[in-house]
Amino acid sequence: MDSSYIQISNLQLLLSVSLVMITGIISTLLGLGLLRSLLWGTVRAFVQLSLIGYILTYIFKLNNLLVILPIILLMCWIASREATRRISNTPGNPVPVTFLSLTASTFIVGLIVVVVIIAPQPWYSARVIIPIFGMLLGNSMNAIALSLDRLYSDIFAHSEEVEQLLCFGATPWEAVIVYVKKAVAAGMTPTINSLMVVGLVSLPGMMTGQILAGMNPQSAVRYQFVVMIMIAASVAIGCLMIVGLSYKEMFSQDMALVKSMRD
Amino acid sequence: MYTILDFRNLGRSLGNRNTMVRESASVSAGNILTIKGPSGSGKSTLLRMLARLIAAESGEVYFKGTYWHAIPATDWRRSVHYVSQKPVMFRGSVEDNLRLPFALSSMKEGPSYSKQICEQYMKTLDLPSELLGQNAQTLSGGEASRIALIRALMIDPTVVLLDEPTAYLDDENRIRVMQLVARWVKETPGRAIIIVTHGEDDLKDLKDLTVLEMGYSQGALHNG
Repeated sequence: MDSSYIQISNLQLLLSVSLVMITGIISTLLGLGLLRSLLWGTVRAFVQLSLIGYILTYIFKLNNLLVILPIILLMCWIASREATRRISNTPGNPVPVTFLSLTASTFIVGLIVVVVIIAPQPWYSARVIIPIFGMLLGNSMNAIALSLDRLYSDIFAHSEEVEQLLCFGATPWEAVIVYVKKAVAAGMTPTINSLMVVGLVSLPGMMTGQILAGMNPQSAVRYQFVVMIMIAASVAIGCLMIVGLSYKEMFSQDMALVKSMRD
Repeated sequence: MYTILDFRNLGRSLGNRNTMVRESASVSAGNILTIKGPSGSGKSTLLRMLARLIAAESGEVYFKGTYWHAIPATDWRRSVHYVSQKPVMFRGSVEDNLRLPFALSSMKEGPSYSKQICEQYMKTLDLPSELLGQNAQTLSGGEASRIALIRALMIDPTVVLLDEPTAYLDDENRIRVMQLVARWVKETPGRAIIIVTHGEDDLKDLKDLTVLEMGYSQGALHNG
């Protein structure tokens, strides 16, 4: 890392806030009623990021696995709640299976990347493990939310077809396999799309951040490639797990669709 | 003739209304049990309970003397096969729809798809064999309900639960369907039919008929 990266002073930080005025003016001129939310959002973003800056500095200094692990699990739990917040028609509480899927996919891929590929010393280096797991979680959370939403809405909309297949003697898995595949694809598509256009249409945030922080672009690209591949793997595992665990919740012990999944 | 399906005090509350269904009857090999009653009396609910698509809140069912939950639901639904009033057609051609059940794991030990049998049934129900190549989503209601009946008979269930099978049919096709149903139950050994119908005309071609009259029942259901 080049130490000559350009620091942002307090004055420069304050200047950046003036950009909020552009959004505020547009909101006011069009009568969008978003000014209050915008100002509150700006304050929250500043406070939250400042706090996490201090917390991360402290955790990086501490560099203790017994502190890092609970933090990652807490992140998984918050991501699970967020991923399921806007999903309706769920027969049970989807948070536990979402937590399981997110945690498993993040840990499987995250540990391979951190321990085998990046290999910091010590292997649980907070400076590496927290950003890597955070990126995995953020992406898996969105993918899982898409998969879960697609699975529930498709099966609810096609409950007559599912019941017809059950009448033929289909197992629940056979009755929903078409929708399971669509749900996994729905979760994975944005990640695959981003693999296609990276470097052509978009320069990812992490890579941009590293370049601004003074890293050689070629080194930043290597990191970004590893990150994108690991995100794709984590998303695939997470989506597969969430639909594999969730479809069972839609059936009773007698292998019939539960009431909330029928029209 | 031996009893194939025997249900006792099979009951369930109907939606949010203060009504319920609670019925007992049995059907023997070669026989047809007809369920009659006004709209909303729970006829379809009774059939769906028998198909184990919805849970019963009371009562029990015996299939050839075996308690129903001693039989896996997948095997049960193939043997006690429910044909809904609204025919369900999947994406693909009519033939794809007729083949569909034979791709399932539960059909490994059952009959295999026979285009010849299929065309015989289609001829009986006045459906041209060219229909096999047609997109199933474009069938009329009457065509789809006859294809759904053929699909049900081809998987060779022991009991067929027919929910108003003539609802979408004109008089000629109604007669054809009821004659096919009557012939199937007579000519295929060890088979029975339970049929829900509104029309008295539907029943005049049927022999060895038992009738279950359903009405509105008020009150809550108690297990027992």
